[in-house]
Amino acid sequence: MKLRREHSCIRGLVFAVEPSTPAFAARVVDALERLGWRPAGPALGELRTFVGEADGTTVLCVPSTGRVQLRVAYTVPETERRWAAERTFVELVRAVRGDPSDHPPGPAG
Amino acid sequence: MSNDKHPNLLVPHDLTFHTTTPYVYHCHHYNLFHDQTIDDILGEEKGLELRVDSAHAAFRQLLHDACKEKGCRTPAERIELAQSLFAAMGQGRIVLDVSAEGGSARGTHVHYGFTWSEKYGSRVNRVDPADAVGAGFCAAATELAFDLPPGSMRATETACVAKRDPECVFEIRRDPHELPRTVGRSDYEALLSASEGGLHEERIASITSQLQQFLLGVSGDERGLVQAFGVFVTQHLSNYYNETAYAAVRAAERTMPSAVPMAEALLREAGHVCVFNTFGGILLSPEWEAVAGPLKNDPTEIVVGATAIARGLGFGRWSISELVPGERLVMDATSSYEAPHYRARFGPADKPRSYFLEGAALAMMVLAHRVDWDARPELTQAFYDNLFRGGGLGFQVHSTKCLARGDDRSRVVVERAS
Repeated sequence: MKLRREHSCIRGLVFAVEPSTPAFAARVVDALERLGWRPAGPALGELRTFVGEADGTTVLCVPSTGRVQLRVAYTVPETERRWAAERTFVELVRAVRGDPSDHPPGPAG
Repeated sequence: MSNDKHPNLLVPHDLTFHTTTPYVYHCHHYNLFHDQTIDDILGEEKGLELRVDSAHAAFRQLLHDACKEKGCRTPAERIELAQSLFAAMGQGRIVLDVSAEGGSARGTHVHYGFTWSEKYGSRVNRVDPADAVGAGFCAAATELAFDLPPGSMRATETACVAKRDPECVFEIRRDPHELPRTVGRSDYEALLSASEGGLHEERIASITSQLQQFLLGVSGDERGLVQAFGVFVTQHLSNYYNETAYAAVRAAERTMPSAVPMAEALLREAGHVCVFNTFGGILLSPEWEAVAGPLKNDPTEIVVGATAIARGLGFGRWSISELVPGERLVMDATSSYEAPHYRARFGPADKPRSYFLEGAALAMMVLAHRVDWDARPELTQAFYDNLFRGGGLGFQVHSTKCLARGDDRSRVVVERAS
């Protein structure tokens, strides 16, 4: 499992967690709730959005498709955005690791 | 008729209004390109003047509506409301320090300056401020706060983060001048007839409804910016886009007829920029996946999705009248935020004036047929240049009907280029 940079208007803000599955995305939602991340954004279908208090990174999950996206806050300096995404990625994977069916984290891509 | 769940929506035209003031959603790529287009047509000095005055008039209309609706009476209440509204729209946070004689205003995250700096700042040295919209807002807010007549104040941006200044600064002073007339909800209602759906209507209407509800809940963050779909989004005033575009083209027609084809081509290209960045960003987003399911690399799916996005953003009742993948798209707009403005302001047009619709429909076909969506491409400037500036778009567009001309709809036909 790794982070892949996705489309964004600003350099290095949006990352996909890949490969992800519906089961993994559902566990990410559970983990974020357990960790106290704040639900955010207006409702839209099955989209679940959470914001971290530490640096404003947002995690978006679509449990039905397994999509998990990290959005680093635009206020984070460009040189630190990758690191902010990596930190959230590690936090997420650790939080869901209790289930042996999870993909182990690998090096970031 | 409005919708209980979406009080700003004029059903069934898919147009949105703050009371009487029409608004749409556009991203920073479109906003920056649009402003540059106005300056390219008119020159920087006249372009800036038109942009500031158009924003001034548009925000006067909005703030007048808002103060009336909220019952704000004192200057302090009105200024607070204006600042909050500007930030909620994703236009940035500007703090006004003004009296009835003028004053100043400051902001660190004003939409145009900040996003210009993000997009171009590392490569281009800018010498002129970028926030004509912010300047127009400052003049309008000051007038409304102190019950001054329209056009009595003028605002100038004297420092801008796009020029690498630490913050944006605006000077506001008395300078009576004429403002353009604005177009309101009643103008649209008077000019639009029955709306119609088209092919794939059920799916388009379903996605549109969800996007409209979602956008109703989107608001600026603590800095007054909205980051969504991989772009910075603004809720913006249709009068600003329309007045600047049409006044610029009409000025070219009066003084520089040979430049009119270039001006019209640039206004169409603004449609390409919007569809590539905003529509593309939405199609690739988790938000889209939650509404429409995983994106399929299928031209019909892309055109259907893009039509729903146009409606969701408040562009009007765009419908697919005919779609032959690889060959032809006929897009109808029984309502549009664009062309009715022309007719309301200047009377019936002598030729089609749906520049944005033409450019957008053409770009939809380009995105549908020349982008490998399965590869989840990054929507970079280089990719845009490759698709739209590489010499062969693969398609061409023309209008056969236009609301600006008094037709019952705008209709554009996109066909494979011969």
